[in-house]
Amino acid sequence: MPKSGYDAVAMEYYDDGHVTSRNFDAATREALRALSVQVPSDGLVLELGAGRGRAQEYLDIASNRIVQLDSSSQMLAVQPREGSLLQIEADACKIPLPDEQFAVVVGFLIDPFLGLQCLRESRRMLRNGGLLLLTTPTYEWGAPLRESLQMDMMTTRFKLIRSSGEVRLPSVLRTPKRLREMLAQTGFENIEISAHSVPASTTPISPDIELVCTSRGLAMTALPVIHVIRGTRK
Amino acid sequence: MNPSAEFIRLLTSLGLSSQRRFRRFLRAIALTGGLIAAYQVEVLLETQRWYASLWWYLGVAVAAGLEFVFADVLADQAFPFDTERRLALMENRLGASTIGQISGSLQTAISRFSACDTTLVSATVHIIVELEGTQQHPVHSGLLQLTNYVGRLGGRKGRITLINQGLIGRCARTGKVETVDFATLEEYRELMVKDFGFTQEETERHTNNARSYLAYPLRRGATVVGVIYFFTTEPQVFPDAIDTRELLHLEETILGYLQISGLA
Repeated sequence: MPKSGYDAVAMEYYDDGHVTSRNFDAATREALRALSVQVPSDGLVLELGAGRGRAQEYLDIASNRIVQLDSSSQMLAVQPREGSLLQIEADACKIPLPDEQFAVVVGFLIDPFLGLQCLRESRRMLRNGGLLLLTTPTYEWGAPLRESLQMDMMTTRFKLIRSSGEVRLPSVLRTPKRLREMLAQTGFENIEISAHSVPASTTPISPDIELVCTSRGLAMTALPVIHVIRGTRK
Repeated sequence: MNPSAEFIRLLTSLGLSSQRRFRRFLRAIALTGGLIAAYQVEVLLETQRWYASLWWYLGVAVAAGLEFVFADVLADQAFPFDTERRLALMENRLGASTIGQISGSLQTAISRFSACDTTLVSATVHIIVELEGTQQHPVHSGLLQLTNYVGRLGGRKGRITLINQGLIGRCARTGKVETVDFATLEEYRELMVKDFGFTQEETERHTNNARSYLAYPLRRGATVVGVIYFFTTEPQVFPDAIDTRELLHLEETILGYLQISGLA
């Protein structure tokens, strides 16, 4: 497996200085609360692109049910981290596990690897009727930003704060329509895709979010920055 | 930077994308040089000052003549004649309208892909050809790109890929559908050399912003006669975006054209 680009940012990924990511965290917390997302009370939970783990924090899932998967060894080494039953260093598009082992597959900010293969693998991991719950940055936010920064639509930049420079990482943005098509194509039903903004009380706000709000003449609370994607395995 | 690749890119940007055009261009320069030299000689003779510079202008005329030979050598190096000859033979046997129909079939197949941005997909057809092995490439089979790419990206027809190179080479060897995905440009560069048999220089000459690829074998019985090739700049598209029945239909259609023309 090629070395993950996230190795380069792992040690500072969760720093408060990465304001855009922290704004996304706030939007995710608020979205999951507003949607009253319930996960099945039994069965294993696979967390894709887990990093230090968010399933306990966001969904109150017991650590002995969680399998954390990440292609970056450095992201799996981040401390402090949530507890888990198992950690697996692997690509979310080629998961080295047998079929139908999980009641739930979750992934928070999975834009680096969101695609048909990842969804197909997620479906393969889920038992019948299993829940898929993902979040990803919105096209409505990311596309105008990347256009204004003259970046291609499949790449994001991560400005390093502990050292100078920036890292470019894969990040695919999809419209809600395309997300729905992708889930249907890979064997999911009961598909729900909702868009969420940064909560009004959040401070500070990322300049990358303010830039898009200003250019589109939108209040911060009117700009959707993350999608919450839900579906069940057919 | 590969000087040879840069040279080809420069010629293509000048509209000199085939051996024939490049050779005509060089000959036009040679003829112009020769005519100017001849005119100068005539002027010198008329003005009775021929003894001063005649040898110089005769030299220019001889150089213009030699340039014809030089043009041939340079043109052969830039555009191997064998590739053009094979492509011309195939095009003559298929006919322009059939090649257009093959491209149309590719376009139709792309329009039926699901859950992806079809405007980002490119496609072409490669036919297996016999090659004369060289010391550098002792391989005796290759894949000749039969049509220009359908879609936004990709090179022109006529390119030959050795049978031991690339996803299409792998597909031709295994006779199976082959797919590959690259998450990043770095991964593309690494795997094209490590897994797909290209040199770094060759890798840089290819379209490098594609992320998802599919090669589908054109089979006549147990024999692979060519490869249908798709790629897109969107990651993780193949094979999930494709209905395999559509590809089977596309294979039958293209094989039909090739069989009528005696190419399969």
